Amino acid sequence: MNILVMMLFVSLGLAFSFLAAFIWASRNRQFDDVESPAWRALFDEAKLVKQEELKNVDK
Amino acid sequence: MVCVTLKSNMGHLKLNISVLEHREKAFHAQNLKCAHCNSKIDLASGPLIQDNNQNYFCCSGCRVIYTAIENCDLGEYYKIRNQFIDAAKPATEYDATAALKEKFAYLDAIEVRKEYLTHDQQMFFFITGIQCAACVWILEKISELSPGIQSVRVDAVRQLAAVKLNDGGAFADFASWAQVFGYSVRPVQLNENLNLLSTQARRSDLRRIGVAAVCAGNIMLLSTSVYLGADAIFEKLFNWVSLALTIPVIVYGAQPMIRGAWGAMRARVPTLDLPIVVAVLGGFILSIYQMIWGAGRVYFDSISILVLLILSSRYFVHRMQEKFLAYEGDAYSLIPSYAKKVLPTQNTFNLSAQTQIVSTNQLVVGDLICIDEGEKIPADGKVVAGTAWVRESVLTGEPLPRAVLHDSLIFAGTTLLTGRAIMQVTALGAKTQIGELQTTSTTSALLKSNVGRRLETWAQNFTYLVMAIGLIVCVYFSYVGLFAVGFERMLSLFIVACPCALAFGAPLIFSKALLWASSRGVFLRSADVFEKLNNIQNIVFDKTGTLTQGQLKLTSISNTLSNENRQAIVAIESQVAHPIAQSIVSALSSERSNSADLTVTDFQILPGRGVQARVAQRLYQILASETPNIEQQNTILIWVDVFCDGQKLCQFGFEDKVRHESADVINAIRRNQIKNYWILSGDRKENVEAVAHATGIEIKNCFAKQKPEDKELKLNGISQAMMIGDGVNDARAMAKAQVAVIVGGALERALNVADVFLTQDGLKELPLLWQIKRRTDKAFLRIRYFSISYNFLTGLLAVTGFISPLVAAILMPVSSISVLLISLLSVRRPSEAKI
Repeated sequence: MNILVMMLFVSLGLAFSFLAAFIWASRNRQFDDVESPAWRALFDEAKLVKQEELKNVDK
Repeated sequence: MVCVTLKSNMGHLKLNISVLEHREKAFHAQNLKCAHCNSKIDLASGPLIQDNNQNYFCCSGCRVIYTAIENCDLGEYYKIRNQFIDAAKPATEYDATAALKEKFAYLDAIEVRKEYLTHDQQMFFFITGIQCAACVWILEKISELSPGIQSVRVDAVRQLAAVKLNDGGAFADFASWAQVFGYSVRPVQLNENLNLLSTQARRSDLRRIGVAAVCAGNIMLLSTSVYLGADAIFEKLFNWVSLALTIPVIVYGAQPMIRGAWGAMRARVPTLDLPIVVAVLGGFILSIYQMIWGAGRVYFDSISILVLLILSSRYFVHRMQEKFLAYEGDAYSLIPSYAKKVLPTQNTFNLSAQTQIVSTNQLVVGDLICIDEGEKIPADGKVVAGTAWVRESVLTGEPLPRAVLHDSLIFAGTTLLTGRAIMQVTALGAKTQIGELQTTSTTSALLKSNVGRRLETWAQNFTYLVMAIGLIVCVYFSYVGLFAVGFERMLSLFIVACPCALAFGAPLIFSKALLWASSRGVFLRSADVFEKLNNIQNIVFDKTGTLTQGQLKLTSISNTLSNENRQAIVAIESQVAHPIAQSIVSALSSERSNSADLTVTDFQILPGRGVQARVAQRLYQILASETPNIEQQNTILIWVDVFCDGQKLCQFGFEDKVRHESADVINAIRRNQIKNYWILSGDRKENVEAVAHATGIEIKNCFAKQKPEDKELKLNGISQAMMIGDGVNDARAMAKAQVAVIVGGALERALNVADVFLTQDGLKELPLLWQIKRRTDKAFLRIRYFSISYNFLTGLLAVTGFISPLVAAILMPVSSISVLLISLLSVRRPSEAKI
């Protein structure tokens, strides 16, 4: 049953690493705006033709 | 076309009606909307604006933007716009002058960048004019249009854009593109905008929930095994780990509740936080005691779950409230963010002096700034060169512009209509007239919150009761020798007895009510309005702009004018940006005549009197009349004489028509048992009486020639009054009323002067207030009944020991959610309700 003790630490470690990730994301404004990304997902990715030409010219 | 057909069908019977009215009738049937901003096209405001592809526009500004969008291959904007909204809200006022990169060059100055850039090199802009998802799309596409801009991220709800540059890029690029597409931008500092402050608070709330969730979840895992019968060693280990995990929950997660409860104890006033905090801390201490010396149960799981659930439900409620709250807006949008400063090397106060564009924050008192036609004035000051007409309706409510000359004072936030002036700054920012008006109105708003105070008293009494019962139970059991049992029952009671009706239900009901109102264009500053409506006995109306349209229409012409003269007058008045001129142009212009062919020479504006110019060698003078024709019509506000080469051609009469919905609205309100109606106006007695007749208000309650001070005095004498006006000039009188309503207020919303803002044209939506009030009253009754019965039942169960603290901790959010659902479902607009 010693495995239980190890599992305890592993699960706590996992939990805290996720918490750290959550705090980091929150600090980088991830959860500030929850409405606009929903709309953004529906926009088409069609880039403007002119911009593509410009980029090719540069290269 | 249509008009010609109409005319020939009706023969020559209607020759006197202008072609404009024919067109109006025909097009009204079609309900023409602007291709860009989707607002109804007002044919009375001038000739129809269209482009080569059969698209119609409400103004040339919209046509410019539409053409720009189509030319950049971004026509997708309109497809997206039509997808997301069935009827886009009509556009509000924004600056339609063409964008120049020079204008925004100040954004890239080193001092400005230092102030506004965030730690990750982004600059935030407040954007006015975002209507829907299509706006988000087009603003974000700017990063593709301009190579210097790396990314644009738009937060539609908070109306902010975060802009990141590539090497060598400039923020002026972003600002000018946004302007071309019709949005006005203003850089914001992260700590300045109120919206951003609430974002910080929200972020830390989220973090607390995160910590509480991680800890509570793990504690639950551990305690499950303990409940299921773990061995003694593991039980001890798990209990100690649970204790360790509970500490961050109490110290970090429950911090706002503990602070609230501590503040409450110091003020000797119980709040909702107090029983919860006692339960949490009490449970923690008891559990430690049990673990070390006793052999009873531990409550780490109960209290950590409790904290988590309370934090989550409060966060949820806050988010709902934020979503539903009335328009907050940018408090400083009335003062432009840039100004044209006259370079110090210029010695003379010369109207064509060289200027440099600077941020308004960089101005100091004494600076000379130049204001051009159509621009908003950035600071209070004195005119030192030039003459102009200034429209001050945002400050005074007066729709007619004022002429300013040398040494006249002009004020921040007002607009310079025609002319050009150089002014010397005397006050900036919060010290300007408009800035001071904002600060005073915000503080008076905070004092006006009765509903909140009543709820607080109720909550306090409830808390006293609960704590008293809990203590009695605990004392009784310890007297009998079963302290642990008593304490446990007290814990359960504290946890389960939740005045959720007040904590969650009331704010939600109010929020839904506010949302309902805002969907009809009625913006309420707070839900206190409904409370105040209970006691209203008197309704006081301002006349001009409230009961009347507030626009001058040319309704009487004393003699018929020849076509030649007509065209000449239209040609002259087309050059003037003044309501009277616009009214003349729309009334006199016709399709057949083309005034654009005529050349106007020697154009001269005579401030305070009118204009004069030469057309085809004849000198026309259009001046305010010295000899008004008072006997003829009571409702004419202004008389204007037209002279040609010294001879009087005719006299124009301008009328301000009563809104056609005014009478109906007053009748609708009468059904709410409000007896007394008043009119206070600065206008003449005859005009006031005419309006009183038209709307059914008693003459004895109508007062004319009232200056703002007189209105204020009258309001002192009228108790329990609702005052309805259209401008900030009524502000002092409105402060004395119980409820203040502003009609047609778009800009005034930002000033927070009144309780209610009707943004749809006119008074039409005013009776909605009473309708919403009835719904909210019903909703309150429902949750009050639910809350009382729930608390009674569960309290009984807790005290008699049928509910353990863990069960209590879970029951509490169940009740919260029920109250939430009841509140949400009770306040539904008629279109939503299925019953």
